[in-house]
Amino acid sequence: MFRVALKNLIAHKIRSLGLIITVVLGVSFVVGTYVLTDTISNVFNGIFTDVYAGVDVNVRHSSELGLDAARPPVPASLLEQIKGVDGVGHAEGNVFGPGVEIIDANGDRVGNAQAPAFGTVWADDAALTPFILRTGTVPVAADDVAIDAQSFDSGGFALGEKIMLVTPHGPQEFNLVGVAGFGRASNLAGATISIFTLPTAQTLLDRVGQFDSINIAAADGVDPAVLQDDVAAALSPGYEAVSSADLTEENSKAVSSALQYFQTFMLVFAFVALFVGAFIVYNTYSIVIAERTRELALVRALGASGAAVFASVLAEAVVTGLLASGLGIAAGVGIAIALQRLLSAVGFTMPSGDLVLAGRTIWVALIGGPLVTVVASVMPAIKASRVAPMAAMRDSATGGTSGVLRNVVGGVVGAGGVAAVLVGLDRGELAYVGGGAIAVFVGLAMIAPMLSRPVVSVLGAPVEAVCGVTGMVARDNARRSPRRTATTASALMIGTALMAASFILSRSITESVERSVSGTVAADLVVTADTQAGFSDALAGEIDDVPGVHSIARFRTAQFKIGNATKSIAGVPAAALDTKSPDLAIDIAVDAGDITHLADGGIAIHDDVARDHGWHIGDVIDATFPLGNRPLTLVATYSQNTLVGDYLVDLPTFAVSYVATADLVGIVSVDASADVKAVQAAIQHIVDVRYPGTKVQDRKQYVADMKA
Amino acid sequence: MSIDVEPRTDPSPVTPVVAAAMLHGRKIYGKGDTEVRALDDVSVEFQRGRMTAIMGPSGSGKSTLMHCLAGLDDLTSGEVWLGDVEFSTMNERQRTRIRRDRVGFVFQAYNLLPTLTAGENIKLPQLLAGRKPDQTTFDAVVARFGLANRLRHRPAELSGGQQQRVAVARALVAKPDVIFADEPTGNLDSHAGGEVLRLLREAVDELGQTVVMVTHDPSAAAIADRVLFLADGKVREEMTDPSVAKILDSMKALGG
Repeated sequence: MFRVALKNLIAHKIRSLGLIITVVLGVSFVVGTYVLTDTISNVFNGIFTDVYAGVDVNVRHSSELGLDAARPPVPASLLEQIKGVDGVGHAEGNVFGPGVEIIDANGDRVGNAQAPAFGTVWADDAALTPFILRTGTVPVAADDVAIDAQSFDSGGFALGEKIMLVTPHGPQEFNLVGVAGFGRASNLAGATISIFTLPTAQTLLDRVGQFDSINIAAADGVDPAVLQDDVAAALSPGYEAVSSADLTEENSKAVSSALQYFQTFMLVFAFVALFVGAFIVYNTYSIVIAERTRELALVRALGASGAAVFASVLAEAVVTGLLASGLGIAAGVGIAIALQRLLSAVGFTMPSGDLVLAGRTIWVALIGGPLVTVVASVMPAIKASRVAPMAAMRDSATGGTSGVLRNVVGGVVGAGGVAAVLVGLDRGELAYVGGGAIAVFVGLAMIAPMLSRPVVSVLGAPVEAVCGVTGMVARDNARRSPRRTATTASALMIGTALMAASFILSRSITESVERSVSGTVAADLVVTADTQAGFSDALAGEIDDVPGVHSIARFRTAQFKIGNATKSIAGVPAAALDTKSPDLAIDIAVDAGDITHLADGGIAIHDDVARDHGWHIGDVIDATFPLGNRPLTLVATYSQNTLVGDYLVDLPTFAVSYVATADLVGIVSVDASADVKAVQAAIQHIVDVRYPGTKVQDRKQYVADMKA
Repeated sequence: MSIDVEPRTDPSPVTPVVAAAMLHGRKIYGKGDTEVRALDDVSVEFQRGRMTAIMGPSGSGKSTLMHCLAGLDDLTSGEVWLGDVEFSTMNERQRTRIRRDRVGFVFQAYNLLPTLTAGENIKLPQLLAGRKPDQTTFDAVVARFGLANRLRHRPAELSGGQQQRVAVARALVAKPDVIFADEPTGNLDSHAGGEVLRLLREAVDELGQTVVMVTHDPSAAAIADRVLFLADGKVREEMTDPSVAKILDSMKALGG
C-alpha cells in the first residue's frame, strides 16, 4: 500500500511539487529565522569573548535595574584601592557611553540611524583594551581620536585629517590618528566607536573623576576566579566584581533579547504561512480523494483494509512533508543569507561568521513539515478509508456524507473562535485572539459547503444571465460539489482575511496616532533626532538662544523600575505640560490632580495604569532609578499617552535619577510676535551645520512623520 | 493458506466439489413501503472447477448476489460460504482479508491502478498482503496471456482488451478459491471480449479455476458450464449446457 502511495506521489509530480512548495514556504521561514538569529548570536558571542579576553575581573557599580547602560559610575579613587588588592596585575579605569557621533565631510552622521554612537577610552595596557589598532597610532593628545574601521571606511576619512564629532557638549574637532578593529570585527553591528585618551573621554562623557568600570588583569600565576573573590571582598557595598565570562554572557544575552522581537515577528509570519499551507494541503487532498474514489474502492475490493488506505494517504502526506522540510531547510538557509544581506544593505553591517544551523532548527523543520501535512490530511485520509469497496463497480461514486455533524461541529468551533477573539480583544490577550481567529477559519471552512450552494445560486445568477449557457454550466459546476467549491473558497478566504486584517490594523493605528499626536502637541516646532539615542545635550541650549524662541521643552526617556517591573519613563519640564502655562508644549489631558506639582518631585501616571495598580492621587510610589531609590508622590493622572508614555516626571527629577541621557525630542514654542517659518529656518541652520542627524519640523510635518 | 477465522461447527454446505454457496440469502434495502428485496431467499452452490454465468434483467439482484458472494457486501439474513469460512460472522476487517487471500475480481471497467505498471497491477493483491508473488505462477500466467512485453506499461498505454487481460491475469496469479467477474466484456468490442472470455474458460479447463460471471451478453453466458437466471431477487431458472439460443429463449420468458 505504501508503494501505491509513493507511486501516486511520483505519478502526480506537478501536484506533489505544488504541495511541497506551499509547505516549504512556511518551513523555510522558520529555518531562516532560526539560522539568522543563531548566527548573529553566535557572532556576537565570539566578539564579546574576544573583546573581554584580556579582562580577568571587571569592577562596576551594581545595578538594581539590571540594565548595563544605566549603571552609575564608580569614583576614580576606587582604582587606587583595587590596585592594592593582592593578585591584581594591572588595573585601569574605563569610560564607555553613547552620544559621540562621527560626522563625515558632507556633514552627515556616519553609521546606521538605529545604532548608537559610542565614545570610549584606549586603555594603556594592551590586554585590557578590546581594540586592535589596524593603522595609525593610539590617541595620546587631548584632541586625538581613533575610530572603528567600519566608520573609517564608510565615512571616507584619511588618517591625520581633522574630523568633526558631535558630543554631549556639542560639536568639536579632533585629529584622526588611528583606525581600530573591535576584536576581529570592524564594528559592533553598525554602532560607531570613537576612542579617546582617558581625560578627554572623561570630559566628553561627563566622567571627570569617575569611571564607568574598572578592568583588571590578574598578576602572573593568579587564578582569575580567586582574584575575583579577593577583589569582591575588598569592595564596599554597591559595587560588584564580575568575570569576563559574566560580561560575555550578559552582552550576548542583551543581543539575544534584542533579537527576540525580530524572531517573534518572523515566527508569526512563518506560522501564518504554515497555516495557509495546511489549508491548501487539506483542500488538495480532499479533492484528490474524491477524484480517486474508484481507485480506492478497487484496492479495498482487492484486499486493502481501511486502515491501510488511511495509512497510505498519511504516508503520502508524510513523504510530502519530509521533502518540504528538506527543501525548507535549504531554502531557509538561503533566506537567512538574504536577510543578512538586507540588514547590511540598510546599515546593520554584521561581522562575518559561519551560518549556524543548530540541531534545534533541523528538528523543528523536520517535524514541522510532516506535522503540517499530516494534520491537514487526517480528515481526507479518514474519508478515503471509508470508501466502500463496491464503489469500484459503480459508474459514478459520490461519497456524500450527510454533513449535519460537520455543520454542527463547524458552527460550534466557529462560534467558540468568535468568543475567544472577543475575550482576547477585551483582555488584550494576543494568544486568545490568534487562537480564536484560527478557530473561526476552521469553523467557517467546515460550514462553508452548507453555505456554498445558496451563495453560488445567488452569485451565479448574474453570471448565467450575462454568459448564457457557459454561465449556466459554470454555476452548476460550482453547485454540484459544494465541498470542492467551499474548500477552494476557504483557501482564498484566509488570504483575503489576513490582508484585510493587516490593512485595517495598520490603518487604525495610523489614524489613532495622527489624532492623538495632533491633539497632543501644542508647540510650534518639534526637534527630533534620526536615532533612538536622541541628540546632544548642548543643542537645546543653542536653540533657546535663537531669536524668536520663547522656550524649548526637552523630552527624555529612560528605563526605571516600579514595583517589580521595568518600565519606560519620560522626563519633561512641568511647565510644558501645564495647559495654563505659556510654556505649554504637550497637552496630555490631565484627568485628576495638579500637574504643576510635578515640579515638587512628583510623578504623573496614565489613568489606565494607575487604575490597574490601584494608585490614587497623593499615594507615594516607590521607584528605582540607576542613581538609587526615590519615592515619588502621584500628583496627576492623564489620558493622552501616545507621545509621553505611561509615566512622567519633571526634568530635574529625571536629571538626578540618571547619569546622563540625551534629549529625545525638543518641543519649541515660538514668541507670538515671531515668524514660525523664520525661526524654523534659523534652527535648521544650526542643525545642518553643527548637529547632523537631527531635524526640526513644524507641527504638521511632525504629525505626518509620526503617521508614517 | 491460513485464515484467522474459526471454522464453524455446524455442517458446511461447501464440499470438495462446492467452492462457494449461499443459503437462504436475503438482502433487503429500505423499510415499509419503500422496502426493496434485492435477494429473496436465495440458495445456490457453485462447484469447483466450473464456470457459472449469472443473468437477469436490471434490478433482478444479480449484482447484489455477486457482491454478497464475494464478501463485498453483507446479507440482511442467511449465510455465505467461501471454502470453510462463512461471511456473516465476520467483521469488515476479516472479510477484507478473505477477499485479499481467496477471491479474484475482474470488473467491467477501472480494474487497474493508473499509477502502477501492468506487472505491478498483476501483483497488487500480493503486494497488499505484503507477500512475495510466486514468480513461477506469475511468469506462466503472463506468458499465457501474452503480456510479457507489456509489463512495464501503464494502464493508460494499453488497449481496453489488454487492460482486461491484465485484470484476469491479476485474478489468476493469486490462485483464489473463486474468481468473480462483473460484466468483464461489457466495455470491449467483440474481438477483445472473445479473447477475455477464452482466457477465463482456459483458466477453468486447464487450471481448474472456479469462475462466477455476471453478464448481460448471451454469447458470453453461453461459454459457461451453467447459467443462473435471476428475477425479482429470486433464482428463476438454472440451465446446464447452455447455448445462445436456449439463453435467448429463457431471457424472453423472464421478460429480460
